[in-house]
Amino acid sequence: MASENLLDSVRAGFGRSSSREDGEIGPIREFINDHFMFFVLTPPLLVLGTLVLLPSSYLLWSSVHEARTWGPDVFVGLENYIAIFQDPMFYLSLRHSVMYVIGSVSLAFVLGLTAALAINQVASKRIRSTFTVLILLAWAVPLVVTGLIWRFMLHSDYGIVNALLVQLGIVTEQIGFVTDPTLAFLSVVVVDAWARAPFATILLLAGLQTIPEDLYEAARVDGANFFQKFRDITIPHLKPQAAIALVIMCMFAFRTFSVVFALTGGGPANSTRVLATYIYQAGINQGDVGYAAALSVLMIAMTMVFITFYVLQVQEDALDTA
Amino acid sequence: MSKQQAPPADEDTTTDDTQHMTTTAPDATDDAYLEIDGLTKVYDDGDDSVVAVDDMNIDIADGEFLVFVGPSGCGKTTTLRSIAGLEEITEGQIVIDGENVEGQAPRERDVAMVFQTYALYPHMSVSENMEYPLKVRGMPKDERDRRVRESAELLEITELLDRQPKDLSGGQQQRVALGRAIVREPRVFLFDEPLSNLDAKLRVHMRTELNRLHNQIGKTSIYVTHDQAEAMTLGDRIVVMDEGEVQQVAPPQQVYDQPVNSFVGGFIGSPQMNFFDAEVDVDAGEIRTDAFTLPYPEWMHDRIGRGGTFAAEFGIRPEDISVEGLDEDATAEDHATAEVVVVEEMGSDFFLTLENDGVEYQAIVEPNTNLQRGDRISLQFDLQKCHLFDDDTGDSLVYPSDR
Amino acid sequence: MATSDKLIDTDRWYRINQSIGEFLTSKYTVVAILSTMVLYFTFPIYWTFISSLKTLDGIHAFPPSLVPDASELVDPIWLNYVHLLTQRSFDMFTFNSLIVALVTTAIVVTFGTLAGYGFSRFRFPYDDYVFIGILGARLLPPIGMLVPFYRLFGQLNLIDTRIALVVVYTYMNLPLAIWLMRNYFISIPADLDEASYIDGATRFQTFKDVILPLAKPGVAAVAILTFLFSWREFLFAFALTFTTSAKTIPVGAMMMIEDVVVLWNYLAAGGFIAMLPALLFVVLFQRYIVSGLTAGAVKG
Repeated sequence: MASENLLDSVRAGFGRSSSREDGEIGPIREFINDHFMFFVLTPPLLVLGTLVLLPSSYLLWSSVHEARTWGPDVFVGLENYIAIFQDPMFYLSLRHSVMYVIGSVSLAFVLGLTAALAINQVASKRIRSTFTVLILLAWAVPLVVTGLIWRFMLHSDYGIVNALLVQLGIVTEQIGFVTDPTLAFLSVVVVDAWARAPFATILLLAGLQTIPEDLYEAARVDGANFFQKFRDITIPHLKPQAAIALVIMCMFAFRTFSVVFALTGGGPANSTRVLATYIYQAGINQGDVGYAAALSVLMIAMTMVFITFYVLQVQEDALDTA
Repeated sequence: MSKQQAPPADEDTTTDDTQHMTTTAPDATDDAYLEIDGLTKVYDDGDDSVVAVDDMNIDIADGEFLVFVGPSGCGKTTTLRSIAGLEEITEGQIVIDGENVEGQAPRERDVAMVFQTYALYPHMSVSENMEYPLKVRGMPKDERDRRVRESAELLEITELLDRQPKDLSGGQQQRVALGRAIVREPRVFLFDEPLSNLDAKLRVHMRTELNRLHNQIGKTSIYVTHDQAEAMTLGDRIVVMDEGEVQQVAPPQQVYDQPVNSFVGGFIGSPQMNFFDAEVDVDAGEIRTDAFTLPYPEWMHDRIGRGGTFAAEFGIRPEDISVEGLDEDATAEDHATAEVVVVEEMGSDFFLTLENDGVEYQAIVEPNTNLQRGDRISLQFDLQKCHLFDDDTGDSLVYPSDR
Repeated sequence: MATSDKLIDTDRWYRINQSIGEFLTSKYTVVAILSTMVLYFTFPIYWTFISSLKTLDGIHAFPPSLVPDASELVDPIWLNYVHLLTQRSFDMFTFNSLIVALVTTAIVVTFGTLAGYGFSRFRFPYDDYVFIGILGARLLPPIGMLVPFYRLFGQLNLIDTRIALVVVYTYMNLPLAIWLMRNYFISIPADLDEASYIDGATRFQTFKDVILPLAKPGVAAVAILTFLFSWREFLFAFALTFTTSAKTIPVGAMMMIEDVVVLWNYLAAGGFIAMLPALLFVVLFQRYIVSGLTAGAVKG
């Protein structure tokens, strides 16, 4: 019955006039509608553009000036840069930074890969996600707190790590993890890896889970043993994901400030000073803005190598989806 | 419609079916409801440009069901999207109900579209989905409810109204998508391969449903498909497209019986029309192919009117080849012999793959359990239903295009 | 003979390999590895919490007991926290942290969603280059921008304000938000936009009624990550704030290391306040965090 009514009205086209008029939405909404792309993209891009370009250009400006925190700038050309290349502390910090990146990232990668492989072996989805959460908790800890709490745990007088080592009879005397220059650097690397490994776990686990189960079954039918399966299926499939994880981790490790600052403050005797803490000390503590700016420019330039590599890795994929 | 009883291929004669269809679709040029004038769409991404639709001219009558059919990439979907206003056209114009819709947003064109993926809003219930087009037009709630209810009844989906799209089967989602189009009471219905995501059985069922629905509503509909069976069964007229160009616009049976070129002949019909390189010797009255020689029929000569000897492509549909018997029975001159390579028993018919002098072709014949692979058989060709196409252009020599 | 020897040999190799593989992938090995991992990664968190409840004597006891007995703990048990909140301005720090993180999240989510939608649906000249620029901007090391931001805020008289922190955190998180939201919007079929246009909706209605509701999981991931990253940020908070009017919790925790005598139990309590919301987020929103981190790093 009702259908017949509708049919009649459809045939008669009674909705015609009204819906035609409803196509009109008024001049303002019409304008917004016609320029919708402009309205959604302009505010964010303006904000982001300002927040990126303004400080960037100011950074470049400062780096060619003799500049203190307060007071006028004096143009000095490349003097800051020249000074940096003659500054032994710069080379020391850079060397520390590079060693720090290599040590922390490889340790975190191994830890993360082990955890990811182990989690991936768990059949139950619920148990898998429980383990993931438990490991991810370490990622959630603010990095400065990570530094502080490990500083306490590694304390030579009442740190739990020393207590365990002494009680287990591994050492007879408590160790100054943070006071001995060599040990301090190792400690910083290990603590940084502790904070970084969960991120690696997440990325590598995601990579492992994209490998189709069929492949392992096919390999089993073909008679491949455990190591052959790992070598011929797991590693090649994990490679792209692992490469990106490594690049990102290197970038993040290279810029580390909080862990070092909280754990050792750069000491003892500059043994843990890295580029980031050096920039902080020069720019904020000593107020030598021009010098710190030039250091920053150099650091960003070095990071650009990683960024370029990363963008090349990701962009093709990224832009193809557009 | 019965292909076996197709009439003598004469230009002005149509089947009962097509005649019936022409009555429901009044001559398009008389009062065109939707005009496509010189529609051209070029995709240009800097370096290279692709002509998706090339100078299309079609008039669609009020209430007509027009089907665009062609292989993927032929420009049929681009045409549909241009009518909807989802694509900006490069040249030409589209006129709906006397109004040039150039530059109008889809919103202003008052057309409804059913998508291949159904495009139901996943976060809205069925009734909210159907209500949405009315809501954005600011229709009062009670009116909206009434229309949704009535459309749901028409489509027999009343009991689904409170469900979420993800809980529906493909066929049900399809109906909801139809419902969302119907409540609108649009000027034109557009269908973009709406059945291609359904399984085979449901597809046939929904095809029938769509036919019924169109007969009930009688609204101008434009339907895009790559499935020639859908095109044949649904369309008042069919537009066969290839590489952006319209090949033929005609009622389904006419497209089937009188393809204007070898592309149309090959695209419509399954299994495909058989094609042979041929030489027509008018003086000897013969069509010679590598596989067989047939008499050159009088009616073809009347249409082509050429003399001497010329090369052409000879086409004949598998169902127009029949088995006369085993080889030794061959008598008449329009006979050829062939070896049976494959027998596919389809129940109502047998599909035969035949071979003769290195040329393979297919025939659909009555079931005959005596036939076996390796048999040599003699064939009869229905010379009233065969085709000759120009060797170079592929244009039909017997059914010239009126375009 | 030789070949069959070799066959047997490969067969033995296969079996040895297989048994090592079986051992490595056996339930017990996996559980042992994972338990060690979990212990390693969670113990410091546990230790922070336990230490935050201890008296100074309890802290200084050597060797410390893994499970402390009542004599080592303060009474009432939350005394250290009360001390931090009432005597050490942690009430203000918490307030600052919350305000800064929430305002940053609101700004970043709004702009990130708008721009992400724009990039996912529209083309404009050089859009690919702008987008690659955003991709690069998110990877610039924040420490490199510390000096210019510090000076700029100095000149704008914004040093030691929450506004300065919001501005910096917006800069730090917006590129990732745009990136994540664009990828999320791309995963929503454009058919739905088109269906909505045909249904008669304007572009804004389409965005508001159809696409945005479907992008909720993406918005959630961006909001959670932005909140976490703002909450835990230390470098800029430490450099740009001087007084309780803008200092955040991580800064408050760090300040205690500068005391003449470090009161580790208070420090642990401060650290625990700093990590608690983050821990809760991980437990509650693991799905969003994991998807956000992986999509942010890898997925195009």
